[in-house]
Amino acid sequence: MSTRPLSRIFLAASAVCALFLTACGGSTELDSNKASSAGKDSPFIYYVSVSVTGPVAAFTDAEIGGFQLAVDKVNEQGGINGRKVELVVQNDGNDPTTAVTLLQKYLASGKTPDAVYAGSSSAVALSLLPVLASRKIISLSAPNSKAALDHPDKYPYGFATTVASAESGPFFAKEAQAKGFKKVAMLYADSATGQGSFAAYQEAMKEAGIPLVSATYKETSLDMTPQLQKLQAEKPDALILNGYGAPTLYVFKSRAQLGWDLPTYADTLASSFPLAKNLPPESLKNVMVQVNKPSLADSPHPDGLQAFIDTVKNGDHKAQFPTYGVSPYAVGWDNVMLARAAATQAGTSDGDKVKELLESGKFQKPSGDLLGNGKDASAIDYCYSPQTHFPCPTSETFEFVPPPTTDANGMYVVTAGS
Amino acid sequence: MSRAALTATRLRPLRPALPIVVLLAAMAAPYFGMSLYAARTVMLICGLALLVSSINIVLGYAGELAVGQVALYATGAYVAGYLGSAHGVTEILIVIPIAILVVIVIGLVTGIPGLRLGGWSLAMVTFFLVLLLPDFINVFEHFTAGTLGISVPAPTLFGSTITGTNFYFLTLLVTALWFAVFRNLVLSRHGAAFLVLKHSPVLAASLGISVFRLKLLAYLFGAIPAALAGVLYGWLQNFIAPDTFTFQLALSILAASVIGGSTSIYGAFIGAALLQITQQEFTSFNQWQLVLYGAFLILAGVFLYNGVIGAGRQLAGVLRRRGWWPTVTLPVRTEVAPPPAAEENELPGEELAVQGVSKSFGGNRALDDVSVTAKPGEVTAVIGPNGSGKTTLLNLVCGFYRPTSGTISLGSRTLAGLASYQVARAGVARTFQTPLIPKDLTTRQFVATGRYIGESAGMAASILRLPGYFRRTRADDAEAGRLLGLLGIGHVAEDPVSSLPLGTRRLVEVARCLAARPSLFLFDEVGSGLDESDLDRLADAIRMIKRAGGTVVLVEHNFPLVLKLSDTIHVLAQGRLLASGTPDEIQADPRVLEEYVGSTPSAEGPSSIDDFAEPALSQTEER
Amino acid sequence: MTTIWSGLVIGALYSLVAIGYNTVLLASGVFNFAHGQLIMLATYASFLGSVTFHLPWPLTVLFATIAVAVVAIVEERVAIRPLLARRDIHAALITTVGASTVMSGLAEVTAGSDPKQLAIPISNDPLTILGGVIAPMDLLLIIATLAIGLGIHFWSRRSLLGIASLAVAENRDAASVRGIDTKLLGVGAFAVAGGIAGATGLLVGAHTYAIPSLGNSLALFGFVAIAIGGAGSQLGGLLGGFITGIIFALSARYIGSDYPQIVVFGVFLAVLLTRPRGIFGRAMERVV
Repeated sequence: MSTRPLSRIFLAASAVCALFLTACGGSTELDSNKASSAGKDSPFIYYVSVSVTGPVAAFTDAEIGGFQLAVDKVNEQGGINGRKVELVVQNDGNDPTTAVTLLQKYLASGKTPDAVYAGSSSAVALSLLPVLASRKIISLSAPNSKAALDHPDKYPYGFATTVASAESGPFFAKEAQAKGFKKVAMLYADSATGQGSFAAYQEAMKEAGIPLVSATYKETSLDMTPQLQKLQAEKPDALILNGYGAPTLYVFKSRAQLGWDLPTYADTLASSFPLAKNLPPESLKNVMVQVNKPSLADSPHPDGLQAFIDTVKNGDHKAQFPTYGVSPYAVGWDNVMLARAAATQAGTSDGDKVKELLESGKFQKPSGDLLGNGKDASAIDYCYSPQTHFPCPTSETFEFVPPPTTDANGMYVVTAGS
Repeated sequence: MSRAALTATRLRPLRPALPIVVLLAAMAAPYFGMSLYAARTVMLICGLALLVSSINIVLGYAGELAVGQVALYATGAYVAGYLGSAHGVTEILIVIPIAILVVIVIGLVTGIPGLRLGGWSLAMVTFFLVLLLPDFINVFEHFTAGTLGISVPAPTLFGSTITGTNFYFLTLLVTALWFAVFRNLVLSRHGAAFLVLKHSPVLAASLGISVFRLKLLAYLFGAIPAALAGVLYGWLQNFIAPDTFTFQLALSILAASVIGGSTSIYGAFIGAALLQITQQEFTSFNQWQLVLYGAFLILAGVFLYNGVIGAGRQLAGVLRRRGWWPTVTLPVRTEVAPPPAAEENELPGEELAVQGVSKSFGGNRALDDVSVTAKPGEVTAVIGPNGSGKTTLLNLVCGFYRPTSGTISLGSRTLAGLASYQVARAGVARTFQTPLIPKDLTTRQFVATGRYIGESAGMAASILRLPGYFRRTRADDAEAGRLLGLLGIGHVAEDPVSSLPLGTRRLVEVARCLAARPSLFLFDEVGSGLDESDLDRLADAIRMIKRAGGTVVLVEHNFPLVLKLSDTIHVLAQGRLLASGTPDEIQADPRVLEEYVGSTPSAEGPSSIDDFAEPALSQTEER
Repeated sequence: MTTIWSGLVIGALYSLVAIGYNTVLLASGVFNFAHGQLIMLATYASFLGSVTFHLPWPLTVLFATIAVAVVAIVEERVAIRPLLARRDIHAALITTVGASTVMSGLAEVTAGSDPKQLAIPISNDPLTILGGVIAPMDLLLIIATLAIGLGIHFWSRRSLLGIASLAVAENRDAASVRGIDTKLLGVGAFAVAGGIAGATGLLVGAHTYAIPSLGNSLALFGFVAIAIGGAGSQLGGLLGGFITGIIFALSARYIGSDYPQIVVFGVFLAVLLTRPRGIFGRAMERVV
């Protein structure tokens, strides 16, 4: 077959290609639709990139319920800076590539989000943040990995709205000192979240002068006995467990099977999964879970919470309520309320202005609107500065309790005993 | 010829330019308001297409299933990430070669054990490669930042940063260059060699191709686009974490390959585009995304047999038969019918000497102390009933088996103990009882594979389309055409060789042997299943080889043909040499008659005797 | 010893997948990637039976067996049968992956992504056996897997149907000429594989809970079991699963959890290099 003319064309095309690249490449730009009109008529776009499939799907669904209720409420009250709020939920499947593609697809449609909730995993957040930074879009999200994300120099427009799970490290260290633990073990997931969490505990324990031994597990593991035995051999006084979903169940099953009833502390990630519902009480002997204090039934609650709970229970996303209680809904709600407060106080949703406000320390927390952080939002301190974009915990943030059940309101109830 | 058909015929030479047109259109798109999203989609498709081409080389052309592209892809991305973030090396012309180098090392480490053993071992080894990837990323946390992921700084070219539109052009350029290389390689005699290998490693070996080396070469060659895709992905995404490089992705690549058509060049783009776009679009179906994607895979697997390209070809075939699509008539490069006196040039015949060879399989003695010699310029026939050891003898000569005892030599060279491809290189060409005919090759290309080892391999020349490549291809084509003409089948030169009837296939195999200009021809049952005219042509060809000084060993059932052609006949029975002599002597030998025509059934049952005796008798009568 | 028991439990899970792979592979030459998902569905069917319908355990097992066998037959009809005419093993890889994706997607849509706990018929207080601790259900799982694996191994060697399936694996056309109904055999293999998955669903689910992500983990490690034990060898798959499980447990216990798969790969290479013919079943050598 004749191939000669083609090869010449190919060479020619390659040459043309190279020319494009070197000579005139700079003269054009891919159309990034910079002309985003932030006029009064255009809606305030609240863009959410989350995964509605996979292991976190149910939890995410509850968060989405919270976003939706908050957006409805804000619109009822006149929107943000006079603009109606439009909620855009994109299903990124927890895949960073897809998340960026979807965001760019959205940008290509000519619309620009005013605030972004950037993903439920740190890999997604880390991929989205540079794109958001290039467009100066503020992101307000609830990521776990403070170590990876809290770099205002790299990600100037990314802010966290919940206390990072890394703050559990110092909190636990205090408990460990109080209980007089001489050596502590930690079992964590072999994932970005687990690794980040371990780093936080490691640092806190080092400061407290308590040795920390560790083992990891894969999220595909179906049995945790070997890892627990490995830790058991180190004879620790307490065990910290990081993880979510089925793997945590396997851990407690193996622990019970080994008859290893040392004091065990499940971190906030593990505690957001209903352990008491899925495990017999004898598996949970000597187990404490770290909960967000505002989620406890007998903590003082914000005024609007009961009404919110009633709405959730009758809303579109009520299916997840019995399992997860109110807290994921409240996370979604609070995020929208924060976005409103920031944009309203800055008088604009322009990224630079909002960033400046949040970093200035002049940001007033909208205590009356927030539902997930206790009465008067006392469990959180938006201590943003040019150095950190993560909020700080307060004395009202965490508490260790025995594995709770949820009451009809989705609040944690600690049943006496254990 | 209708006007439409004429137009189609005229336009056909332009068809290969289609990819160029597509490329130019893609390059022009940013000047017509292409959005970042569209550009990103194109770039992701390019990346996936590179990965698919990696599978296509290995699976579609060399016939080995390997699923490790994801690991090589990750390697490319991590090389870009590590060099960029730890050493500040972002220069494209440094990063890309290093990435290629690293994947080739990984390719060697995994390919050598995976390919040595054949079967599914390469698939298994590469499967493990993907499975172990997160573990290795963790173990080498120092370089990779473990599960947390690593950011990848933007690339630079001669010091200036390449982002935005320029990066889009870069992606297109790298992809286009790779596909040019890929195309040039597979549309050359090396591509033909791959297809031969895929169809039959035995045939490949008998052409002098080292199966292991060529497979390894295909596998390593296939590693390159995976590395390119990885580097480009890292730069596109600016951040990489192990979560991206999953087994699920490996399956998507395989799916895109099958959907686009594994044995095709640009099918990779079709498969990649289909998969990328469906995956992207299906996310909007939220919870139903997985169900829809799965259903899409099932439908694609069921209906896109041979890929989209194959389906297109089938459709065109149907339309053509109905006359709704213009039939393209290729300019037939008919070989001028050979003048009746056409003679093959001098052949470098050598004497084959088989001395006291025995071969046992377990306790079963297939050949027992057999000695046979075949002289240049003579036809030496080996006959005997099924199971008498004829094919075993051929396989011993060819190096597919090793003799239990005895020696085999060709001229002054010892053949026994050489690998089969080395035997072929020593100047042995053979045909097969059931002709081994690969798919996707024209008859001319197939005959030219006989010349594969003839001169220097010139893979670089093929890829770069250097003058040497054209010279060689022209010579190959001309020689293949001449030989087909010599055998009187010049008219099938441009037909797909797999479409030919059995008789023609046997003649094509003879032509393929002739193309190698060997010292020894081994014809295995070359006359069976041929009709009268084919047999005559075959006989003429064998006589011609003989006249040209070639050494011919004929293993035959067709007794009349053997009598007509042979100078010496050896009769095998139950692994022993029963008789040797001239045709006249053999015909007169009572033992031979008893063995074949006598009433004692052989161990293999009566069918073998019938096979042998009936045509022999009937044809003798006719003459 | 507890570590060994733990390895055996995990190994039993992997073996079950390998048995499922091999059953279909031997009878119809297809690699059914969706088998992990069939086991996942079996845990859901057992959840339905034991928790939702409050069936006694024999009925739960029966229900799950039939339900999953039916799903497997449907899979064969939709994803495999249309391909049989052209014997294209790579297309079958794609369609079975597609079937697998559909199954996990459907499970997630209908049952949600959270683990569901099965009702267990017997007390699950740990037993101490040979100095190691193991849950009674897990012990039953190991025993059932061994029984099924050995049973199907000997059955395929001795029974006419088993030999017929070996013949089909060897050469479909030749088998078909000899009067073996290859189509029926193919459906039968899917039904048997699905039935086995269904029958063990209660035991598997007692350990793993019913959860959509189970299918993918199992599919992957079943593949490892096959790699170690040999594709197309029931005995190999059974042993491969247990060996993999024990290696996983021991290396997680003594080396660290980044290493189990690397160690298994090392063992795989060692087996490959020392017994290149022994580890792969005959069936596979011919297919590619």
